[in-house]
Amino acid sequence: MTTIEDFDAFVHGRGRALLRFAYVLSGDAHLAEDLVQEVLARMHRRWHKVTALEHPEAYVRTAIVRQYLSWRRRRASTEATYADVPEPPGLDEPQQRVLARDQMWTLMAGLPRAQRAVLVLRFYCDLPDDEIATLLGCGMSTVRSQAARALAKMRTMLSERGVDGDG
Amino acid sequence: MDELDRLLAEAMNDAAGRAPSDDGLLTTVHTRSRQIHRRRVATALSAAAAVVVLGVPSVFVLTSRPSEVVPPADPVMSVSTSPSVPPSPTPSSSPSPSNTPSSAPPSSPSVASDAVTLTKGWTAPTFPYLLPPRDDLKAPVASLDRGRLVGFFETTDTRDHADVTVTVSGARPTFSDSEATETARQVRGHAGTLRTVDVSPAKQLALYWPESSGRWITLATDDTYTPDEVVALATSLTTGSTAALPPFQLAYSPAGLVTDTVTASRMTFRTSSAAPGSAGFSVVLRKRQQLNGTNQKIRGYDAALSHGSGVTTLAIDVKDWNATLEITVNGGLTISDADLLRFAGGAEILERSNPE
Repeated sequence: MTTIEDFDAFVHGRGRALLRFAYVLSGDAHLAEDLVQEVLARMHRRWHKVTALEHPEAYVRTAIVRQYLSWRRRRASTEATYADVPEPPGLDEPQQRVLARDQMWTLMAGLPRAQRAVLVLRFYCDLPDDEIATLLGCGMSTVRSQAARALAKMRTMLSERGVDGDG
Repeated sequence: MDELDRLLAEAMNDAAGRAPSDDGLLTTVHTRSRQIHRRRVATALSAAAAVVVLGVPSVFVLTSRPSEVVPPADPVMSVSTSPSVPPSPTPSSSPSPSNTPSSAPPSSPSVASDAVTLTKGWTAPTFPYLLPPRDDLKAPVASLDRGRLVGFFETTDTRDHADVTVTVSGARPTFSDSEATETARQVRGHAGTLRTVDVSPAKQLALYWPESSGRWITLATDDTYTPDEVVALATSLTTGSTAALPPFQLAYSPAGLVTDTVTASRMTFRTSSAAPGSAGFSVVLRKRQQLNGTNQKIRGYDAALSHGSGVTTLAIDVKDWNATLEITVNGGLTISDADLLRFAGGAEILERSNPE
């Protein structure tokens, strides 16, 4: 298989998963498309080098996270706030749980980008903290403090809204 | 995992289902990749590209355009002071001090004062080396970056070969990345240094050496090539003459000034005594900006001529190019308004340009 065929096969096979990841990471459909397109386009001509790595997809995801952090830094002024969080439901009914998840998603939009990235890598990608630290190029203590701050902030918001997030 | 953690994981997995579709992703990525690649070698697009005139084509009279802008007739670097010897084509050639890429073009008179006058036409600097022809190797693309001549040799076979960038400078190169290993290598009869930066997906290799007095060469590529192959590439460099393709066609250029930078978006000039990169006369194509205080018309376009403390600026709103062409004269240089307007009237934006 040529490098081009190899690259095309990767995009066909993993493109959707990368878009899902980028969307969860950014919370914005257009930004997610932009992130994935930009990262893949930049790797296109060097794809044979990427595939020579032990975990090519992990490398691509790392690039997406770093691109996101970089772009969000420039666009920080447009970050969402907590202002539009809907009134919380209780959690004992399935429908209410769905609403609660929607509310969590809304709350995530108000997190600083680095905190959000840590949560996504931990809870969506199921990565351990040491791998998150490697991916973000920071220490494990930083990962833990970012996660702790993010979760504390979300707990506070949920508590203020009357939802018990401690289960 | 507590309830909050579970809710977060569920919320993220729910949201993932609302992610945009991957329909058309591959096509878009290919298109974007081509755009990135084009930007990288913007000046290589087409030497014979159509002229996008600084003005609506129906307004601009092409036939009236001066024809003095020609590729250099002289194979030596036009940034050299005097008729100079071609660069050493082989390792055994003697270094030539006159090759130092730091002074005025041979055809340019020296600057009598800091008042810029105009001369007809413009002579392109030329990149003085070639790699031996190979099936996978495109013709080099030359540019000039702050006095350094750059030749970009692009491969069409990225699996077995890599792009090679050769830079000729008047001083020992400096690097911004500090995390590198350096090893001594003998190159073309000179003591060189092979610098390796360990980054993914490919290590970056840069081999640099003093080719002659006042001339340093840097050959940069990646670890597709082994260190020995990088040295062999350097050894294989021969004399060449590749003109830097400018983003603009200039009917006039500043007399006596040295061309300092020629890229896809800018052409800059400086006095021969000024340090490379300290251009006093610059022509820059930028993404379109709002112009304040328009007071001129250049070929039908609104333009703003302004004078600041030691700075004269003419910004032209090239709206159908969605760009602003900005001509700035500063750094101790001055120019009359009439000459500046004449210069602007003779500047044409070429298709290969790319606003910054």
